[in-house]
Amino acid sequence: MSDQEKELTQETKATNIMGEEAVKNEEASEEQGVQTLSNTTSQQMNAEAVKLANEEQGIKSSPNTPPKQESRENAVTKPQAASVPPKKPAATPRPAAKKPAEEKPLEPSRKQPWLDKFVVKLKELEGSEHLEDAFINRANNDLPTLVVKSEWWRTLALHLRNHPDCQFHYVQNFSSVDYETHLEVVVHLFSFPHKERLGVLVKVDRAEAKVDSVADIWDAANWNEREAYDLMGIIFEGHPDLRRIMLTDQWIGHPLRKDYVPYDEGV
Amino acid sequence: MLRTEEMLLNMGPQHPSTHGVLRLVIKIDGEIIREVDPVVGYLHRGTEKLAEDLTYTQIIPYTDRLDYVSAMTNNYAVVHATEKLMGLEVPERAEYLRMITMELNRVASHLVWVGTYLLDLGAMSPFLYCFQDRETILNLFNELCGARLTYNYMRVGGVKWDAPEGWLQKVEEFVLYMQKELATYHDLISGNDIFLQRTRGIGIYTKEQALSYALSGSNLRVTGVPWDLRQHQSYSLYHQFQFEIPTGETGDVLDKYHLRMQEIEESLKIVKQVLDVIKEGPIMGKVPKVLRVPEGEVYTGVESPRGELGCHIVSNGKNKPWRLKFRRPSFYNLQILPELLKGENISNLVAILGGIDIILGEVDG
Amino acid sequence: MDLFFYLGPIILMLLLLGFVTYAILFERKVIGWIQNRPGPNQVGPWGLFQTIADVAKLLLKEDIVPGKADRALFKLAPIIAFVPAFAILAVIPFTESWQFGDFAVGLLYYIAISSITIIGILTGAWASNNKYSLLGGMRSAAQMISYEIPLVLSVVGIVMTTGSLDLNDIVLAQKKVWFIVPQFLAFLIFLIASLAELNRTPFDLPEAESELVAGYHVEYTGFRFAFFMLAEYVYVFAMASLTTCLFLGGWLPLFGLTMIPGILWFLLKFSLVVFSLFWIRATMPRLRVDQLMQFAWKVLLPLSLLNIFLTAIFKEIPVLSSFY
Repeated sequence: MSDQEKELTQETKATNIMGEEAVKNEEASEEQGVQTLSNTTSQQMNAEAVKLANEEQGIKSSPNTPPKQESRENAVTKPQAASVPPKKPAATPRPAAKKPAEEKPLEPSRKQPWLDKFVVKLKELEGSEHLEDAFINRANNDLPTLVVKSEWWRTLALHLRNHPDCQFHYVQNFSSVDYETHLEVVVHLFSFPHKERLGVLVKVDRAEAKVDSVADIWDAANWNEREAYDLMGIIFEGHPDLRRIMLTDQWIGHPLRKDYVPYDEGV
Repeated sequence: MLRTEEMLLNMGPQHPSTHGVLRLVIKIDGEIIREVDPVVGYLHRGTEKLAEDLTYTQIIPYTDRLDYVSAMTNNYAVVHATEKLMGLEVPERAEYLRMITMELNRVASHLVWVGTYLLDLGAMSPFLYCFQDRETILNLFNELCGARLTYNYMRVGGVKWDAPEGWLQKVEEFVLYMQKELATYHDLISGNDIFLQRTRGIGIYTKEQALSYALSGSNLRVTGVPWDLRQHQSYSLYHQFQFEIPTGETGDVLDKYHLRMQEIEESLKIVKQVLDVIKEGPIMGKVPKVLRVPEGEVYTGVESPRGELGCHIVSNGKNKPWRLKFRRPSFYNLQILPELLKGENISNLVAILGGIDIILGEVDG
Repeated sequence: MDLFFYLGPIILMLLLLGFVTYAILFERKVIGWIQNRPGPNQVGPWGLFQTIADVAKLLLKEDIVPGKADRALFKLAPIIAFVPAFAILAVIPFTESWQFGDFAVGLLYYIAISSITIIGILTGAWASNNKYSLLGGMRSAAQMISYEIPLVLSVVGIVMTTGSLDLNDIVLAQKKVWFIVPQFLAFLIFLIASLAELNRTPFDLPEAESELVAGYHVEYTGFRFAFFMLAEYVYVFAMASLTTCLFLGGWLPLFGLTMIPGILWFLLKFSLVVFSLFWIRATMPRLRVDQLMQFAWKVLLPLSLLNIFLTAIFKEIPVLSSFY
């Protein structure tokens, strides 16, 4: 990403988001994330800085860099974080998701009120400090999305599945992503009674990739967790039968990790 | 007293009715199944890993190999997700052509299902009738994009080739023919007493089970949930057209058969309606030479013949996806199999497994 | 006479092989037509040499005996299965004069001997030491024993009418009217039960391709496999012949057309039966094991008993008794 682009996107951000307040809040929430998540964000930024430096020196570190988490649009207001003063390195790249957005300021998403209400309710839940972020993924049909830490995932899953206000009985998608700084379990849920979609991003530590299994909450998660374990190397604790599903049992490594190197003895 | 013991039977990966390379490790007591452990992965080609090193256009032919019975919807799944992330406008004619091909592909796919399912049950002739009609569709596709199974037809922003002269006419002829031909299928199959006996009351699961296992497509609708992404999370231009969502009542395999037959009818109806409104026009939107997809994350689902075919793309702004994940409906649908098979007869295994309608290319990714 | 005694069976054997060769071709052609395709048409004119090529291929194949199989039984099984199939042909009266063993209990002999084949199938299934073949063998045994009962009972009506077990007598008793008319119920039961006895669709569970791969002969290759197939088709031949004799008046002409020789009449009726077997095969799905058993014991058996009962009653009714 060139510097020019960065500037452009930075400008966009300043103009298009719902006023000064929202920007502040968002940054504040990120700040909080830095504090609570044992410096994940700062690590990531460091890693990026190293990479940028490498690129300048002409060293090819990695052909591809992970998408930046900060670029997620429109963080929801988080009252308790507002007191933290915003301090942000000015050069943090923040691309906007859509080009047309540059011309006119974005309307608040139609899902924003719903998400705000939803988050307020979630706050009452035990361990809700692990809720890192909640935003609307505009590119994806205004999909409300939660970002949570792995410790809280099981509690949240139970809540989402069973609470009468949620009733997310249906797993639309169960995916996992390697961001090089951390792993993410991505679950897209659907609630038939409320006709609502919800994305949940569960941040998982990369070195010790462990997260509670939800196979007993949604039957559909069973094989998907096995697949995520097999290909991404995430260990789902409490899974009834965590074996490799796609690859052979003797396989070495987890191919979808970005640092995966094939182990081909015979070749 | 005779000493009896359970027998471990290895069904597959080479077996006539596991529809490819599915392997089922079955514990049987006589012919009664006590436990099933499906072993998948024999056809795993690492499409998701490969996609990370491919540009968005290069990924499309790989999707053809997932669900090779309805490659058009696979094409669309990945193209649609990319367009969503880029916020691209697709010309009307391109969307119409996509819809025609997708719906024809659904018809073809369901015909394969009906044929192979009856073959699983031991009836040979319907298989050949179905393949004959499917052949017409494949020939139409062949004329359109030069391939019978792996079409590689859609592109981000449109479709690759416009319909050749007279093609739409041929499609219309086929639709009219097929609408009549369905009566023949009902004559041959629907009233057959052995077929009814084999399928009635077999493989029943509840709505709650279906939701928990995240079944989709006919496998979900058969439990009475009218859930069709074409209407409920509408994509392409489906919202312009009228069609019903058939649902089942009892949820057995017989219901699935009737449901899929009705879906063929509905698909034909959609094609007919599209043919009435399709006009000349561009087939590609304004798309840059090198596709750079803006940073972001998107998940979109489309209704493939087997259910919700989703595509989850995480982009870092480059011309290649950072992560691409397919929500493969066969993979989700197959999960419920061990539950359905407990206590069933081996003959029912074939009937139930066939009823789920899996494609191993898709299960294994 | 002596010459015929020795040469006859050999001629019959050759005729039979010829029949099997062309029955297979005919079956494939018929099914092909039913399924809108030409059937075999590459080897020889009209595909006439297709089966010969197939048999040649089978004969040239390596004879594989699985390592864990019971070698002696494995080799014996095809013979046990085939010999009775051939032996039963002795009692079939093709015409008045063309019969090898005319004895008073022909029908009983046929039914008794044909049951031996099941031992061959079971032996082969067991000796193969394969789970699929074992399952196929078990299914086969259960099925053939179950269906033998309605098969035999359905014929009792005819035996009561003619008062004889001799197939010649039975054919001659149909001079006035074929037994298919007064014994129609018996005919249906017999046809269904014989399909089951032949292990043909919709009763082809023992070798259910989509479930058990190939059932009892899954481990057999080459010549031994050919023997099983041969036994199956000889049974088709025998069963169709028996149906012709019992219900369709054997070699007796229709409409008094006596100038057409009896053997042609026989062949005509016989072909009709064979065709209907193929026809059914092309249209029907397969039954399930438990349904199969239920069908035999709960439907066919009571019906065949009813048939015996009705026959006994009709025999006493003045007007009808002429038919019985």
